[in-house]
Amino acid sequence: MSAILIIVFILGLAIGIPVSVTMGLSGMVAVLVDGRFPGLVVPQYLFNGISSFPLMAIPFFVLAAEIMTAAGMTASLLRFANDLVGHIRGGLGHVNVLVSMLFAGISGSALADAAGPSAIVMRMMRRAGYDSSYAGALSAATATIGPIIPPSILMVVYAISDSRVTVAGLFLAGVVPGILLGLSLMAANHWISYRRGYLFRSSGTDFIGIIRSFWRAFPALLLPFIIIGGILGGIFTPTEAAAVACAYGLMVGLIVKPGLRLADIPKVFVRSGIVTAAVLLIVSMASIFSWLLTILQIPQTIAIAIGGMTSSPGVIIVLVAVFVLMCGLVIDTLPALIILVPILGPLVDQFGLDPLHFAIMIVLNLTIGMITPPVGPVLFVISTVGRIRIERLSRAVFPLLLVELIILGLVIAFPALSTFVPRFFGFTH
Amino acid sequence: MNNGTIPARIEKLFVAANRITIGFMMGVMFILVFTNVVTRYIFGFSIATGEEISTFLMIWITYLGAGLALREGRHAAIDLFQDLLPERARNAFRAALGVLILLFLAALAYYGVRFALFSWSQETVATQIPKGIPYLAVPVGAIIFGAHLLFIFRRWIHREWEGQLSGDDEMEEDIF
Repeated sequence: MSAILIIVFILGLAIGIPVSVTMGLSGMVAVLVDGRFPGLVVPQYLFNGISSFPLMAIPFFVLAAEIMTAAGMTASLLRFANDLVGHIRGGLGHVNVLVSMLFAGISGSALADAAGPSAIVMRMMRRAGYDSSYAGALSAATATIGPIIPPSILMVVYAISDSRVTVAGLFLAGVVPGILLGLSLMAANHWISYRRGYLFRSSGTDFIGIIRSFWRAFPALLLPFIIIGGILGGIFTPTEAAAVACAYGLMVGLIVKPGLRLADIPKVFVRSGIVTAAVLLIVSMASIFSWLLTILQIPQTIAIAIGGMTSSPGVIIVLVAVFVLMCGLVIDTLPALIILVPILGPLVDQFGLDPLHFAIMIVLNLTIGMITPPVGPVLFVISTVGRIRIERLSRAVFPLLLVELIILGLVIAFPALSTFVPRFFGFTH
Repeated sequence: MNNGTIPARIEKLFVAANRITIGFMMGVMFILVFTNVVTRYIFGFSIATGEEISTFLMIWITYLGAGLALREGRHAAIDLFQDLLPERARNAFRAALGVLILLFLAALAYYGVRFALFSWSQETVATQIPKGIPYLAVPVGAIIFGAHLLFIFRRWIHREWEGQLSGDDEMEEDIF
């Protein structure tokens, strides 16, 4: 049965069946061929895999970001970022990084950032005279900040797959690594702009102008604090926080700073419904697949194999990092997360690792995998939107990828980078 | 979609109905959860069935929206190897893949209906409706997914996606 499951899975991926369908298909074929379980277990696991209230944070975070964009709040973030850093050398590149960091606070997805604000700054950069592949590469790299700075869809799924951590703990643990990622990309952009002689300052503004654009962006800037504050204060669960974020967006967009047309609201709900479907179909289909992995004891076998290679916690975390990076090259981020977490989770107990440190390492690692070819979803989006060939884009993203790997190395080497903030607020898991 | 022909009109209607359904479900799900937060803090109670119904809605949205997501090319796949084929061979290959996906969806619909009927006599915890009602999301979704794939089969082979990533240009003009 194990052989059938794995062979159908790998074959299905290789011939180009959508990743979600491949997981369901390989699960169904394995169940039917094996014959020990009735075919009814397939729909049962597909249903139960997403029958979870905590999981509902995902559609609401998607909806919140869509509402913010429709209400012009994402645009106000972009204008604020431009006023703040647009006038320095390589300015639009810095705007690209900063707007991704700000947008990460209202969206939990790298793809939403890549298709939204990052794509817009990419076009602005190209018009200003930046090399088109560099503009695309920087937009792809900055989009990976989205799932690291809270909120984060990947972290919600992680916390559901592994009871060793909580969503609140993970959100807090992502703050410092996310900011580091942004600062290091700014440093890289500065260096590249200097070497290639990019000047292209966008027209600066005075102090009053900055204050004015800060005030316009203020409702959007406030949102991450409402989400995180509400969760930390025990006022609401992450799912409720996400729903509150939607209500906040509607309220600001319709009443406080009208920018949202009533006629646009149905469209916003439909769009976020479709995005939700694509994300949760993966989670659903992955549940039959990972259930079969579990009853076949494949995770235990792999965990014992990895665990048997060393007895040092330091070595194990590096081994795991390399293993996850390899997986991230060929598997899409979300399925990789769902498959790998049950496999690798037991190592936390076996080696006495900090569960939050371990989790952030895996999330950051897989997120970086979104800009690595051959399977890099963010690269695909940027390549489609910007009409840049994927090969050129992959080459241009390489130096930025190195920078992100250095940050991953730092996060691995210094657990305090991820554990200090959650500890400060009393979260050890 | 060339308008006017009868299949094209049916397709248009089908897509519109599908979109309205998931948009409406998204709205109800949001209202249920948000209302619960509000009533809990202001009035000190929450509606017990709200959590369960909203969870079921989320599952229905997932399965009813999967076909629409397919139209927009939102189901990630690894196209790397099929792109190595010459164009005609690749088209034939993708047609075969499409049939394979349809077969999987048909099997899922079959087992899904049987599972829903099998559980019909049990009731859900909070709402106390037959468990088969939420369980039907999987087979009904599989059938609708299959219908979308059939409607766009030719476009699916050539990977011509719809409406994807649109609207961003408008936003750019708003800003500068």
